[in-house]
Amino acid sequence: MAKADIFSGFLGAGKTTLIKKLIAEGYQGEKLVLIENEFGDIGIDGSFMKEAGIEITEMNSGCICCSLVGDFEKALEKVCEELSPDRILIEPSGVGKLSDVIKAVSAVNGIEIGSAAVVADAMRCKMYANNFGEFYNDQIKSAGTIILSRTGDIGEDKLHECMELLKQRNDCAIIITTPWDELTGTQILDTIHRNNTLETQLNELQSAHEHHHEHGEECGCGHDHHDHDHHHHHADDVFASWGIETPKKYSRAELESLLEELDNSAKYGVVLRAKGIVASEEGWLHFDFVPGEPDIRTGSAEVTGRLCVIGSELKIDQLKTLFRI
Amino acid sequence: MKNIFKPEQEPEIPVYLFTGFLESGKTTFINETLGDERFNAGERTLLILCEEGIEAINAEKSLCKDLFICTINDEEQITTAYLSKLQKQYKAQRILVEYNGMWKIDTFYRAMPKAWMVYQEFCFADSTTFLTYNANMRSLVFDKLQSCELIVFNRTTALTNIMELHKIVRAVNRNCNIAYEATDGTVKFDEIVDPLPFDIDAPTVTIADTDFAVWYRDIGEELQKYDGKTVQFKGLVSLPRELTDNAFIIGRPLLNCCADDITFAGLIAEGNTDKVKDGQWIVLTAQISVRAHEAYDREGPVLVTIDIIPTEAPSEEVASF
Repeated sequence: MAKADIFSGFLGAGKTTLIKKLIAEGYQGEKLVLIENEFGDIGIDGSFMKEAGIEITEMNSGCICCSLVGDFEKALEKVCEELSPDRILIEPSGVGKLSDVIKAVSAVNGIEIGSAAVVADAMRCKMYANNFGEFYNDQIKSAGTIILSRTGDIGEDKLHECMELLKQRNDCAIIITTPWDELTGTQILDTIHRNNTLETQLNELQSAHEHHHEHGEECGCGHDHHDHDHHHHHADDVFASWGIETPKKYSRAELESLLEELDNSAKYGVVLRAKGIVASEEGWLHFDFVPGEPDIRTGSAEVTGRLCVIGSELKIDQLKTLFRI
Repeated sequence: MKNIFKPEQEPEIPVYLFTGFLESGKTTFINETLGDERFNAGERTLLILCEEGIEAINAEKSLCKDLFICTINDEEQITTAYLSKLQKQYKAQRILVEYNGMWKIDTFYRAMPKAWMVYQEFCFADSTTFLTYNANMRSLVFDKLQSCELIVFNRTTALTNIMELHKIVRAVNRNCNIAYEATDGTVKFDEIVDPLPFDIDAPTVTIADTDFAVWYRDIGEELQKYDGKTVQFKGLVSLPRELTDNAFIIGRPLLNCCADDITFAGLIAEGNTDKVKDGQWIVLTAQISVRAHEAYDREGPVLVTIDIIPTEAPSEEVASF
């Protein structure tokens, strides 16, 4: 069974650049086929693909009026039969609906959806969402992961505005906010494929603390919920965890005082441990807090900032205010 | 007694239509226009914004004293009733429209109230994204190029492939002006002349298989110059039942916009109908007589057969520009 990774996004969002990066740095040891359904600006050139040992298929129906139909499914089936790949990367037309592509791919025998992502230009996503309407919003809504491009070119306010807009349309997707050059292809792929999520980090943190507790059900909202508050209640309701993803930047000094504050159990509940990776002007800060012992060091970038807190009777609203969320 | 007063005629409302995709420079141009005293003689002006880009309308810098701005967010809002209502509500004497690049231009033209008259339609395009947009949203690009009088390609540099832009425009619209606005602010008008690929003054005007589309368009636009000429070209015969006994249709499938937009481009031929079969490819030599024909419903080129030679289909059956 071949897995299909779909990368949608409007023209010029950076799909091709991203796919190139993922092929060069992310996909390892799999037989890949790339299907392009768009006439790109920076087409992936043949020699690059040859070097990487990748088959490339172009489908000539990128025009908005020639919608995605039978041909697409037929071409996919043919690719599977002739090349039997492990993974198929699909770059659909930038002006098509992602939900249509997902539907079409799901209908093909021998292929299952590995992931569906959308690449969105952080600088333009508000403008596109307002003016393009249906197909653009469909891409945002249908994506499991939203990969923002050009986040390095915009200020924090603009990024915040963009995040709000995206969350309104899709509060389940993980939103990658870190500029791509700070990330490896593997990091991005692990996010798209859900190998590294807020959920997994929360669980890790929790299991380290709860050997004597029964591990409750996963958050009932399904594995796709990642970009909103996570508040895990357990059977005895003593032990709770809270996690959030944010592109917000914190200075080291601010983070230090934030973590010191966490000792105030009257205000925040009993925090047993807090861990996270956040962006700052001086690079990425990794922190690990146990009462009385805040530890902050600089480290590698994460796809977006993440905060995890575990403890009992946590006051989520207070925590949010503390972290300016 | 007859009413001596003429029915009151609504005054004509000039409309200036600005089309193009997001970030193509529409708003910047509108701001410049509104700030230009030559364009502002005190008319009450209604500006209809159908798109909300990065640039904003700068009403303060406008020299237009009575400027009213309203927004349309949905293509379905564009109806005759609504447009009329807006015009009356603001007592507008002229209308500027910044159109949404993703909407069909026809939606606006169809909904335009009777008194409205498009004085100018300008299209704007960012030369750095135009080729990608054209490749992927051909129908929308085609749509906006068809009726514009001027297309402005902005952000051009020494590296811009002017000829490619020119060709795309000219395949759709032969008459509009084309301007290239460079990143340094200089503007050049397109003066590239496109000679016809066949000799119109030859004793027999011979149309190559690859030039059928160009010829078909030319004869449509400049009918009179073909009157009396002898032409020779390859085409597909069609014999619809409604046609008179002595006539047949000859033409080719023609690709207008993209693969989903292929129509049959046919002309009326007269004589020797016994020599042709429906669905047959022939090389036709004929003299063109420009006159009214019932199948055209008006004046058109009637091909009076001189010679018919059955032949094979051309390598590309569908003609294109």
